[in-house]
Amino acid sequence: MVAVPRPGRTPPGHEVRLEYRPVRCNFFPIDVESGKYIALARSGGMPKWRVRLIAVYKLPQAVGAYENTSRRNPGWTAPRYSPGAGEGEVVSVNRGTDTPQVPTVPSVNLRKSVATLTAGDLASLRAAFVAVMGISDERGYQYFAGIHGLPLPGYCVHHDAAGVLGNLPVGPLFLPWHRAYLYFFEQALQDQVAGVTLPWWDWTTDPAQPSVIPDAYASQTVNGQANPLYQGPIIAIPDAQWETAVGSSTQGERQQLLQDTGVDPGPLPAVTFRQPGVLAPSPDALPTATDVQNALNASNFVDFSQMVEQIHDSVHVWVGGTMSEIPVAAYDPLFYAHHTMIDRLWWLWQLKNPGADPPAGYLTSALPPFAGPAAVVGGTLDANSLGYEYALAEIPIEASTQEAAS
Amino acid sequence: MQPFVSRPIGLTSTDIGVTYNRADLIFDGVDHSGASFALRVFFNNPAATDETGRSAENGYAGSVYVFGHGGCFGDEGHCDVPTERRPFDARPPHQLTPAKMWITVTDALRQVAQHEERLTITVVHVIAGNADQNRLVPFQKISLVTYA
Repeated sequence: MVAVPRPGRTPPGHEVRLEYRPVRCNFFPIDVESGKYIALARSGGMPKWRVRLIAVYKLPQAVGAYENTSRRNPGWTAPRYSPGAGEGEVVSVNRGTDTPQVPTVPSVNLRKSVATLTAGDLASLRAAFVAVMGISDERGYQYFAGIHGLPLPGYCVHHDAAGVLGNLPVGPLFLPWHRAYLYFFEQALQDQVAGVTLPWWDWTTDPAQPSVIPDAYASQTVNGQANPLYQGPIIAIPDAQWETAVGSSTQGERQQLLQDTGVDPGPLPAVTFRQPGVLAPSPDALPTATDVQNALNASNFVDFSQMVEQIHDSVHVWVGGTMSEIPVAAYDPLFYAHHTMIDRLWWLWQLKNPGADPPAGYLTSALPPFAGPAAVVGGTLDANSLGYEYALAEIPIEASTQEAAS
Repeated sequence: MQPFVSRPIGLTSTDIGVTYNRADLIFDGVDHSGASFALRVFFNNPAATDETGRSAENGYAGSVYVFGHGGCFGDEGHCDVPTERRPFDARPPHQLTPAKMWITVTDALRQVAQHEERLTITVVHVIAGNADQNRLVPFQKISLVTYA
């Protein structure tokens, strides 16, 4: 493992490290651990190669480590991997384009932290959001936002621990359904801007620090233009459908609604809005790293799913405004950064608990309204098969001149 | 809104076990059909309200936050949760099926058990807007479960 100082780009309290990945190496289809990669690399000469650095680790978190990874070391042996408890194993090796003997495999995309997005990353993300917001059919923002709640039918799965009826098993579909949801939305973004990925909002906050929404999503404008990540339009919901329930036609129904829900949302807003930390039931602050770690320590999927869903709920309630109501939450661009964080937590938990899947009876459960291999629970278990994985940042590193000449 | 205040329960080893490693307060039948809300739990503070500070001194043990559906947006019957399931009905459960939620209260319980022999659990239902002050707490059952 190599520690790489990155002044100015490494978040405080973090260290950048370089690692190889033995199992999930997507940029190079050779098992590094077995040594086959090195054998090919030597025979190929590798006049140029580069390492893609895609990990930034929180300190002092222990992570897995490789030893003997220097290919210049005469006594070099295949690297040995020591799994760690952290969120590590994120660097892959790319031999560049001058190695035609290497089979071509599709590279997965990296979902990165909002905090480490480059200006270019953010520009691409905003361009993609602007593009999908300009499409009114099923490729567009309104369609995807509407899938989650209104207009009916709403498909999202929340709080599906339906054991109270006695004859229903616990239904841990919250994570798979939302993974599929993000996948299909991200595909729609990539249809507009190639390679763009959904970033994750790490809302874990030190209790001593103020809870905030990241600038990328909190700024109303960027370079004099409206920031598409600040708010989303709400167009797809027919007024009649909203008014039927919320601004109902008779005073009696409206009073009943107030009694049932305790809140009068008023007319359908034209755009999303947030009230962070303002609503009465709001938590004092966003979840802490301890909250997250407690969930990651869960020993089985159902426990983990429910713990992380409750953390998820608290963030929705803290953000407030349209984010705090299921029917309209997904119209807020911040929704996707929040849920990408939730999906990342599942990914991290999966790395710690390989093979700990949802109950077998659910693996073939459909995830409507989606179609295709990613539209059943079993199809969502491997993020790599959906074309992505998680990193804090991606920093291409070119070989030195000396390395390139060797 | 009236808090839920439990009858006192015993905290002896016979009641909750001596060697428990984890204690959960489990809410069954949580109604998430309405606006988002919080359930704040206080131990041995039956007078707790939504204005009570969330501190250990006040017996605060934790909160459950519920992301709500915000009311019913369909026609009549759209939000009626079936109370039983027909044989061969393999459709997913109704979206508004009441949920099971919990908070882990191990440390808070241990703290109380050090000094008290009985425990009263108060659950304060905090919801935005003009909530009905006489509304019942939005769950059907509450249990304290300890695990070895």
